[in-house]
Amino acid sequence: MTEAELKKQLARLKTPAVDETAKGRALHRALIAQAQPGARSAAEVRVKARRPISYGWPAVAAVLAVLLFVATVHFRSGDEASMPVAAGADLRMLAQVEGLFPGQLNAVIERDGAVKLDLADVVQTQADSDEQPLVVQFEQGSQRLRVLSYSGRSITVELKGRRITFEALVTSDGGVVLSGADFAWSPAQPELLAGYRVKAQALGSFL
Amino acid sequence: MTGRLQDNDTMNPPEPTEAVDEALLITAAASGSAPAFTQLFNRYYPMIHAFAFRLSLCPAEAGDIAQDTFIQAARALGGFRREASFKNWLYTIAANKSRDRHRQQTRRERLSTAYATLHETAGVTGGGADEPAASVAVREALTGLSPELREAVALVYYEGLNHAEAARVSGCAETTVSWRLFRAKQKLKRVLRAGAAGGSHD
Repeated sequence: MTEAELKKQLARLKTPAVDETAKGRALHRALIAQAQPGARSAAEVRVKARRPISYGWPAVAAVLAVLLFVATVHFRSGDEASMPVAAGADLRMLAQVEGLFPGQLNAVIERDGAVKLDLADVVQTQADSDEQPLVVQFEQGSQRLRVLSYSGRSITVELKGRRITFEALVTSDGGVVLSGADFAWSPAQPELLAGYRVKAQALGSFL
Repeated sequence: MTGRLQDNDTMNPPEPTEAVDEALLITAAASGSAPAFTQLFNRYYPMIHAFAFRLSLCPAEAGDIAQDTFIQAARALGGFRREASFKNWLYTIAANKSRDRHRQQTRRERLSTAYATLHETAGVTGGGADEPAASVAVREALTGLSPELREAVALVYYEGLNHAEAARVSGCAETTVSWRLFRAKQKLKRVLRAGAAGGSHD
């Protein structure tokens, strides 16, 4: 009997159909196991609360107003034609994760091909339907960190071991500004952040 | 520097492939997303169930092994290091679960009973009363193999893994897999040839 004949013979083994009852029971038990304490201990996910509108809001609002003004005045020219292919993939990924964690997603963070999720531990019951998707990228040498999120959500990234929390906001002309506790970034003030070059763009125009 | 992106200065996204989707699902499931885990479960359950059947040759055992596999996967997803494909990682868990069950004497007895009633209990073993004779012959031939040999056959011949991948799943050297396959083929050819000559399943 040749190798080919043996393979042909083995292919004749009939596999029984999946028992849907057993399958349903298996899924149910697996989901229980997934939800048990400890099951998520090693997950590469940092869980934190989405920052509500809170202390210091007037000061933040003032800073944002300035940034919005600067962004509006200096960056009205339309160079929106970037990421023609990227936008579709980014929007799709955001939509997928948002669907998996409705009201809980702060950001999808991609670093060197690995994707992490920044999730709130409190689900937002009222979805902000006008939130605009955006992408922020941090670059230093060959290192690159991409952040997909929505305008106004609190995002925390780790750059050189330093945790940096900020909000990314889409401006009226489709630009993006970043506002952190001790920094502000805009296309008009493109300062390095922890040594990283920053790029940001709204994805809303591709919707 | 400008913060805006120029045409030649785009933020390259990951390729919108199924692999990316799967990586995302795995990450989401590891973080506790039930919908993400359910998608992975539905994608891989039939494959793992079939693999479990080829290891155990018993539908009831296949269902139990598949269930144990996904329970273990749900608990261990956070530790999945992506060094192997997710599918091969599931194969590894399933093979371990199958071996664990073999080691248990009670399971052995249950299997013995199942094998003994192979031809008597339609729907309990194999494909049931309407299982083709050719399938019965192959199943009986596979039953005659030791679990280690059967595992090698299942991984390489049925799941399409190469010897190196099968070795990683089985937790042994690649040469061991090659040797097990050699031994398995000898036995299978002998049994299947004898069966064909005798026409016992025609």
